[in-house]
Amino acid sequence: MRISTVWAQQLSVDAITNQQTKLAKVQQQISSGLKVSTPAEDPAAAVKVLDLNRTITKTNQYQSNIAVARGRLNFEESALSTSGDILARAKDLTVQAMNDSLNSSDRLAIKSEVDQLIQQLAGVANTQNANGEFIFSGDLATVPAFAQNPTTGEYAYQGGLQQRTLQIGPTRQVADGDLGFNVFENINSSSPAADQNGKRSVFNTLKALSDGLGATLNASPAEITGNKFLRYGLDYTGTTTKFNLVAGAVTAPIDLSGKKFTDVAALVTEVNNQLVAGGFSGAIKAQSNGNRIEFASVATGTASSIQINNTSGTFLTDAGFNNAQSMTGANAQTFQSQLANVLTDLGAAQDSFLQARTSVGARLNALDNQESQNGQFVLDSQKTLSQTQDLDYADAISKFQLQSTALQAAQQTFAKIKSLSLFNYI
Amino acid sequence: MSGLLATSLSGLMAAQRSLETAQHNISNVNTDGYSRQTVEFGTKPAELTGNGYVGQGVNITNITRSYDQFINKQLSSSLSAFGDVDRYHQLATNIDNIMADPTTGIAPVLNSFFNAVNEVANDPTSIPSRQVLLSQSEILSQSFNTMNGRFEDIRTQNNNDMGSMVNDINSLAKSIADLNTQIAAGIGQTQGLKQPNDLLDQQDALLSKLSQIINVTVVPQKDGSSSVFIGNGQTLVQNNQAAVFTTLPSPYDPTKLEIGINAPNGTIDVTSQITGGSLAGSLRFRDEVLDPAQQKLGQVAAGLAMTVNALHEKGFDMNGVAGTALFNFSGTQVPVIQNSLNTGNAVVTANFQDVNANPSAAGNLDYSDFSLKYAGGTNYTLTRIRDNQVINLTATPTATPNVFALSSASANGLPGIDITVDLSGGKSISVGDEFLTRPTYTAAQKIGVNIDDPKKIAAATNVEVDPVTKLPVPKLDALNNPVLDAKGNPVYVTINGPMPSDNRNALQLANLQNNLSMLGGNATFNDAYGQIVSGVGTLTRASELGSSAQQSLLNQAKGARESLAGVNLDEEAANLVKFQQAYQASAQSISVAKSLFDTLIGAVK
Repeated sequence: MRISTVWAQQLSVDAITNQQTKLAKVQQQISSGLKVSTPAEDPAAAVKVLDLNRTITKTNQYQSNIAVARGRLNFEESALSTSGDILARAKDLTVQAMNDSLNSSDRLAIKSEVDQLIQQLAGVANTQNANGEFIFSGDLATVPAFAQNPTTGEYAYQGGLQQRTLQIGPTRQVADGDLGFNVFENINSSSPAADQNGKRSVFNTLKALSDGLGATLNASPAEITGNKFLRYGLDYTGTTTKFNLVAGAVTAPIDLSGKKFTDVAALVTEVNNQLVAGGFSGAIKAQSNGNRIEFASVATGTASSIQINNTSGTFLTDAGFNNAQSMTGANAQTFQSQLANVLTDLGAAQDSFLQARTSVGARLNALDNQESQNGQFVLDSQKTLSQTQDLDYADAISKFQLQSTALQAAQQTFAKIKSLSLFNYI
Repeated sequence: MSGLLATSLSGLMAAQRSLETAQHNISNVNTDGYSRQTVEFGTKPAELTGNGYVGQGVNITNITRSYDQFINKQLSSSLSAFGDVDRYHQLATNIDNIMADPTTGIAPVLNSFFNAVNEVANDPTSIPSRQVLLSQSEILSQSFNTMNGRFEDIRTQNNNDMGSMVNDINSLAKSIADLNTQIAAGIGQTQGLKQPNDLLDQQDALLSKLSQIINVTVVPQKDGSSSVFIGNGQTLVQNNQAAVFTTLPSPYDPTKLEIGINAPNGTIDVTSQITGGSLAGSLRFRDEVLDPAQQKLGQVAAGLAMTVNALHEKGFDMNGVAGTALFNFSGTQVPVIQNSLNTGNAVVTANFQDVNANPSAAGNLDYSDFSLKYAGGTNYTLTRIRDNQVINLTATPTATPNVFALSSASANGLPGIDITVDLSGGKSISVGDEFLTRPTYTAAQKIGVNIDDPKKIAAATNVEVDPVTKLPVPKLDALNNPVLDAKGNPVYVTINGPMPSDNRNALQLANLQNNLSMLGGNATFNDAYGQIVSGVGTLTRASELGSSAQQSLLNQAKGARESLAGVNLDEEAANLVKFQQAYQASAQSISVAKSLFDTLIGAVK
């Protein structure tokens, strides 16, 4: 075959450029450390790299969520431990107070320590974390979990009703705390002073102890409490809602139609105004219990009862009452039996704290467990990622050497061939 | 005796012409498109004498160039094929590099966005973590804008290139037409017996250049000129006339260029007839790589915005106010362009569907453009342009008089957009009126962040929960029956006030990262973006392979032509020696003739 001089030259130059391109490619791989630098080189690998990177960043985010949850649970754990200590002291004092040989000034001395304990416990229940969030207030962490009612002196839960959860794994969420409502308030009680659900707040138990030591033996009043979150009020503009409150022989009709309340306090004020205006003062009153509304018969020493009935409109559902919900209060107890009940209920409260601590411990365990799972997963993903995108240096360097030899060979033969010409001989 | 002299002289002349031709070959060794020339000899007619026919020497019959029509045709078709795939490959590599660039890729910022959502879920009361989420949303939407902007840059560049290619075609066609005149004249001067070799070479070189830009059919004419056609017979050059190519904007989109030929009665659109060469590569790149990549990017942007917004609007912000859209689209959400030939003046608008109303709206989004056509009565057809699939739509009246919503018989018939036709105020629509709607084409360009106050991030659901059972409280009507929403799901009681530590909506937002909400409910946002990357990667890879295959075919064709027509200096050197010797021999013959003369004259002295 004839070969033209220009084409021969072109072929040699093409060969050299070709070798240079390959060499540059290997050189670029070596300098970047990556096997695949653009999607075109291996489209499947490019997508796999994206996927793996997403998995890794996502799982690392779970790891940081775990760290946040762990910090909060450890914080709660220490708060619960302090609460347990306070209760243990309260129990000691109760046993001490049950001793008949004490005179009233001894009892008053104990009462002042109990009052201190109540405040201390309220302080613990209103613990704030580094962000200023009240740790037992659930999803309403900007308000203290427990607030003291200025008139009754009782502590009522006013936080949110939902505990925040954090995502710690692809399908695993963990609560980063517990509701003060469940830990401090919703405690099983066998005392006649328990509410209609058989529950008594640890603060009420301690207050009963303090009151008993101060020699005020009150009857536990009949109260019915709605179980809905009314912190932000109710709006009956343009709708009709009415109900009756019945306490013993007294029936008090309440009409909230066309009114709007921005919070519980406004609702309480309105109900009490209507009671006063209707001449029912003294027997029934409304009061706020944190976020909820409570209707109470005002008892003095004797048993009483209260009922809500004859409703029209949506008040029952909105405030969380049942139709004809009623409660009968208990007679005032003797000092000894009151203290005996306090002792049992303090035991129940300790159980409640213990339960919360156990649950926190279990969650911390779950965090550890998930953390090591996530860690392993990140490790595996990183290994796959490395296999997919990272360069095998041994292979690349030997390729580089091979390519440079090939380039040298191409250059040398070019020079040799160019020197061959018939013109050199004529 | 004089015969001897004349015969020697003819040999001398022949050798001289051959030497000249060899020298011409050597001089043009590097001339592009040059075909080596050879001198053809023939014997002069012999003289009849009494002794028989006596040879009279050599005659130069012709000077020809080495030329093979078949090889040349193959070369020009290889040039077209290579020009096409090579251009396509170069441009696709640009997109591929944008996809590979970690600083502009969408995947990392998408991950950061969802991480920021997680941080808000961890700490919903923290203003800084909400601020980070806002910034990440901003970065995410800007990344979409940036990538779209780079696509637009490439589009502009490609349009400019197409413009200059069209100019090249025009000037090449003009030169070919001019050469046609010269060649015809040159051949005419010799009564069609001799070829103007160098003009023909020039003509071939110009045709090769033209073939690189556009695939042409060359038909040689009797007078030696070449007629050039493109596609299925559009004349580009005939005799001394060259047609003029031009770029013209598409009727629907001024940034999309079509190719036309100026004709006496207007411009003829020949885009579909352009099959090879770099111009076809540019067009193919635009239709196969650039447009789909941009549309699919818009699809991810629109799907993300629709899904995130729907959930965000269901939640409540830090002030207890219902959430608003997190992302928005500047200007018209979905552009609808009216065909200029429409006789009616109805106003058609399109918007992305509400994911809260249709949960699969984001999955139903399609990257294609759609053509809406009025078919008479209440009937409309929506044609998906990428595959011409037709969706039948029916107009139903809306609350506003004379404004109609278009709906499909199947629940998920519409491609994630709602279309309304406004015929109010005496507006009309005629059968056959057409509208182009481009749901995804501009979405990546237009996406932005709708809120600037970190408190407005709706991290809360405000759903009331029973503290004991820990279950959401269902909403009850006056008869104590659970209230259900349009799709039969229970409605929960929401707290009408700020719940700053409620992170339930943020958790759900964070979970969208794992939801298969895109591409018909089969892909996450990352998957959908990954599919763009792998799509571009695959096309680039295929074009790279195609380009190197065409390169070797082109090299074969070039090699074949060079083998036939290229100059080999060694060969020419040998020829020089050969013709030099022939020249010397002929000169020697003259010297012999001279000495014979001398002998004769000396004899009679």
